[in-house]
Amino acid sequence: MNKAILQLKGITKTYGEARILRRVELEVQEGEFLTLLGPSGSGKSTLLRMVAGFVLPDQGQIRLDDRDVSYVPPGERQIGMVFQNYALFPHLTAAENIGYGLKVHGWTRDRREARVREMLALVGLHDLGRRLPRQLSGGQQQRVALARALAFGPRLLLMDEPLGALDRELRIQMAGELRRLHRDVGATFLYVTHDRDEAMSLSDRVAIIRNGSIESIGAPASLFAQPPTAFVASFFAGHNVVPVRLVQAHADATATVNCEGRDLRVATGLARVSGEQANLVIPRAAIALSAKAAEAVRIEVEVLERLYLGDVVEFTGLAPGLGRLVGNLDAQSLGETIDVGTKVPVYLDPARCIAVAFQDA
Amino acid sequence: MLIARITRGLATTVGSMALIAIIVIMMIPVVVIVVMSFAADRIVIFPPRHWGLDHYTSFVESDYWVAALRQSFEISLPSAALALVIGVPAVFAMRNTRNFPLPGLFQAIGASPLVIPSVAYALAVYVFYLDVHLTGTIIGVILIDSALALPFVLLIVGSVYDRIPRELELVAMSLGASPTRAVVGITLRLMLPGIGAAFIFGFIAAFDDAVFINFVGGPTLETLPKAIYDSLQTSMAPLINAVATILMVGTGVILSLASYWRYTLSKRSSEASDKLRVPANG
Repeated sequence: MNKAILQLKGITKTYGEARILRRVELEVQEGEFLTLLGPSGSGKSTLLRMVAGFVLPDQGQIRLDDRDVSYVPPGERQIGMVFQNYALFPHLTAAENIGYGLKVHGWTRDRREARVREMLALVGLHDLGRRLPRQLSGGQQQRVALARALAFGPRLLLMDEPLGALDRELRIQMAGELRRLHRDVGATFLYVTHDRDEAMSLSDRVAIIRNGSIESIGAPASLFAQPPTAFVASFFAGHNVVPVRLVQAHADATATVNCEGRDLRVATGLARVSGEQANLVIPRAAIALSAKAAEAVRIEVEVLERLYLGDVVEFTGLAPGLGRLVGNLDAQSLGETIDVGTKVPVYLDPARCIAVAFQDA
Repeated sequence: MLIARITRGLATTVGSMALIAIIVIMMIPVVVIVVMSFAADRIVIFPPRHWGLDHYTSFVESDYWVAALRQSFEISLPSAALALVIGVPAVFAMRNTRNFPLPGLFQAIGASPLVIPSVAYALAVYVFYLDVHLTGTIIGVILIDSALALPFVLLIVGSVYDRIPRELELVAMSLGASPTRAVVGITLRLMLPGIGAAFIFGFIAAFDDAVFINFVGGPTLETLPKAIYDSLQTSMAPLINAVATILMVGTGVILSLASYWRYTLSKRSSEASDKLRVPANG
């Protein structure tokens, strides 16, 4: 059982009228790769800066290795940080950038140079130590920023949307590098992003943050397959979410909901469902061109949009009573093309749908 | 269509000719002075018949003129330095204070020496100095000259400061530097070329002043501009052509260097900033 290297207890932060963070509780396990995922303005960057020591909490405690560091200056927290825009010192070479923290901590020249060489090799920039930041590409600058943050061997590495400034190809490549680094270095990585693909592919666990509090936390696979709330379902997993009436919740982790006059027996997620209203999560995989299961429900949708993506065709349709639905249909088995405006029958598998507590959008 | 093209062509030609005419008219006095400075005739005639460096040697050998030059430096250098001492911390203060009171007002005050009519300003300063017994003192002149230099410092240092990403200080601190070390070692260090350029512009502003030195300087403080002005009143020593040429060339060279310096600095930091593309706020 891994121990918690970082604990946030009851963190609250208010700027003037706005409550940026509301009683945030979080535990980060040692050695894990945890991503804080949330939309713009959710407070995730503020939370990260608090862990780094640049922002003070109004209330609450930050504990690092079971030590209260809420008011300890950034330099004394032994935390590495990589910023959104790398923030390399423009007047120092890559090697000098990496060695900056070591110099500040009083390392001797020999020890520094050895360590800098080691770090350059670790991030794959062997011969580029003498270059200035402006002579490096975006991806290379990012590696220097990583090497700089890891140079003095911190146990916790903070990253604030480090891949945001890179183009798609580079982002995928760097994501792979980050995973490799995480394995090789063994430190705990705390990553902030608004991009759910990044969160899904990089993390051991994802903490979904909205409006200043953590809505849900779990492994990407379980959050995807069993989203505990409507927001997680739509924001993280990209599933369809429609409001329905709850008829009855059953003991065997299923529930009956009523939608457009029809009663459907669906699964329930991690959260308890009760009351009159609920949200029905319809994953894209629950929508198919043919009836896969006996209980499959046939619905006629009017095609609003279709997007050819190679393997699949992503189609958006308007279903009576359900609203807009997005599904991925296998491009090969899609015999004739679906034209926008036509009505197409699709089949919904209720067993793959999940009822969650009602949430206003 | 053709009419439009003809009119446009005509306008461009007339415009260019007007521009050339204006430049020529402005440059003629300058050219005359420079040419006359190399004259070696006994009487003042143009164009000169004999050439020589007589006026330049007279200048260098004249105690009066050399003293005036020295006096100019003795006043302008401390004035520029004082403007830096006030201006650099002011820039930090104005940029880093949350809810800085009336930032527009302070910017206006900082720029005012460039905007207020010099003679009115100088008269007001003179009356004020009478009260505090600063007329005719070198301190008094330095104080007002530093006010002349200050707008340049605020402008140049301010724009250099704004180009430096704030995250650099945060990074330095996260790596263990104290706030002081981060500000001095990183931010200030990156601002040095800009501070140098600001010093030069401020120095030139103080050096060139011919108004305030006359109002406030009293009878004993002779700076170079004042000496030139006085010499125009008393006699038309052709020596001043040499002095004027030296001033123009000197100022021109220094300002070109300072501008070039600023240009390469801003080019470098904007290249760096281009790489620091900030994605959508999250």
